[in-house]
Amino acid sequence: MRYNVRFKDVAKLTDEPLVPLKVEDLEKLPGIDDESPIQPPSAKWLERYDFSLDGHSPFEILKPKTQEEKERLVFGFMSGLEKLLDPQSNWTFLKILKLTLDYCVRCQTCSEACHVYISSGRQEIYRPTFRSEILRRLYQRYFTPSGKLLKSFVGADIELNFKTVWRLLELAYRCNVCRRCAMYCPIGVDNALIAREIRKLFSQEMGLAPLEILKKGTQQHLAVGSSTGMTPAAFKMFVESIEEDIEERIGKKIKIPVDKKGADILLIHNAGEFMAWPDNPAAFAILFDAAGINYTLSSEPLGYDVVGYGLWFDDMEATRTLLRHVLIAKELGVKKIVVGECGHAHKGLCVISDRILPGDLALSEMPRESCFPLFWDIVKSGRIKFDPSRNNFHTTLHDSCNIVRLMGIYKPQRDVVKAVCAKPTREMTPHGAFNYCCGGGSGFAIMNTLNFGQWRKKVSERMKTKQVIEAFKDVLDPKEQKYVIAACSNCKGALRDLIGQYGLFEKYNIIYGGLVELIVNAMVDIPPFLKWEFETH
Amino acid sequence: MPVIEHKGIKINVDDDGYLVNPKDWNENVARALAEIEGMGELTKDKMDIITFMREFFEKYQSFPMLGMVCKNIHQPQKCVTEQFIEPLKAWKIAGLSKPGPMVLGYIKGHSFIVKPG
Repeated sequence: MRYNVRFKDVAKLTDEPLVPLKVEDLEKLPGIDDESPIQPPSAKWLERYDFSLDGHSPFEILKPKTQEEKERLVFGFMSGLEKLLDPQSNWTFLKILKLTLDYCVRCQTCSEACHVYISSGRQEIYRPTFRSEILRRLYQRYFTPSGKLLKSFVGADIELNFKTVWRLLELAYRCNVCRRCAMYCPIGVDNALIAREIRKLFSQEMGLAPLEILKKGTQQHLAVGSSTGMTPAAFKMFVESIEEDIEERIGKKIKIPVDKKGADILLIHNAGEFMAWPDNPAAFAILFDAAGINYTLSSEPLGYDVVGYGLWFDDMEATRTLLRHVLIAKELGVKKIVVGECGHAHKGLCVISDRILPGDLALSEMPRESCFPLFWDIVKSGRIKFDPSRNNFHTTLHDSCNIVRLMGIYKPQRDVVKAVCAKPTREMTPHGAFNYCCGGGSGFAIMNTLNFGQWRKKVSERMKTKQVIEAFKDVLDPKEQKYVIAACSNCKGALRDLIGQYGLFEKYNIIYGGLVELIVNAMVDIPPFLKWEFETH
Repeated sequence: MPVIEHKGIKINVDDDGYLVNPKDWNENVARALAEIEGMGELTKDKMDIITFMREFFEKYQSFPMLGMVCKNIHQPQKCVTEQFIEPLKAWKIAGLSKPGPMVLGYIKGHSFIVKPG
């Protein structure tokens, strides 16, 4: 069923969720008949934490009990909201934020573009406009003269209490910030940005953000060097270990250059690759070595981890990491930075840094590029011989939102796949800039506090699950091997999650992985590289 | 902080069962933790894995790459998942404190290998 939630319901002072999600309410998944039910939070959790939006939460933060605690939340929010709309304290994305608040015509075109809204069985609270409207009404009511006087007559009728504030915080973390809604909007307003700006309000004003992306995310990244907690010494060990692994597998010793001054390219991976998918940096090393690319990795803290989680929720944190990446490249004297297979790092380094870093860093002198056009340059150059029959399985291409929709890098991946795979890739419906988010976007792939992982599996990853099954619908037989190309760490995390959750490997023999692994697997001069396996929990 | 007692050994652990102070660790504690985790007896192969994890952490303050563990102690490439099913159990028995969520998130998938069909 669809729960009839009105905007003012977010102020309800009950612990009952506004939308108690049930599997039968969600969009039906083809090819999955035995889906497990959604587990409600345990009694112990319900007593301690707030699940009053939809029975899920990524915040292990005790519910406010005293009046003082409740007021702190409300006043913090008010103060943050005032700053958010003041050009003196927030200039980075203010224009588009203001335009969205002022000009959205509530036509709801964006709702039908949102995978979370559709997957949830079209629940009101997940409309891209729902959280924006709450923010808009609160602003009108408390910061505009007409709202203060006339309230409901001008639509400024939402009570502001600690529950409103908490539910708005939760709502900001029910959006993948994939910006598909913004693409479909006929007048170009950006409701995803509003979700992101609400997160920013909470993080910058009150330090409220999920543990995984703030305390153990950006803060750990800046303190240790990587959000995985990987120290520079450990990174060097990992590189050595990958070198040994490559030698065993291809019978040739390859030196992975680290801190090489004056190289052409500084290549930065998402450090999560070393932990979870070490074959990805290994494949980069094999390919770049064979193509004779003069590149280097960096062992400086942050220099070996390209993530910048601040992009999802906090301008300060985003700037701190971006600044270090650019400075490290300048110190090494490289000609450009190339971002590995990591979507949000593409957005951060190639797009956002131009907007938020000061101009005197001479950023224009430090070009920042995606790895995909470089892959295609290498493949089409003819320097390396490929045998597409090595990749003689079905593939489908998942488009990372940041790389494809945001940056328009659409063709290089497809050209590469055409050149190194035996079968034409099966495009998802829809694909390219219109493709849906993996469901792990904006940090969701690594957020597992309390029962948030369940929400991700059931709701935000649902559309991708459907797309993957549909892309392979005529070859679902497990005898046919199928590979989902997901050239982004976060997307890989989400694909692993959904393939595991819905048993797509056991049932249908579907695995996932990056793009560079396929290129290296097709290299004639070395033995096949790909391991056909899937690890789940 | 819960204190668990197993066969006369008292162990301070956090809410998730990780040792509070890694210095409290010795082989007897490891055996007790292994039994609590349902791993049964700690064979030499298992002990080698957790010893390497401890040494690696002492030196680099980081969770090691799983393939690297096996290579260094000359065991098959999937040794950690084969021996412990969940790599985090090895971490726990090695007496190291709970890894950060980033590592948990990335490592979690590496638990056991399934076969299609």
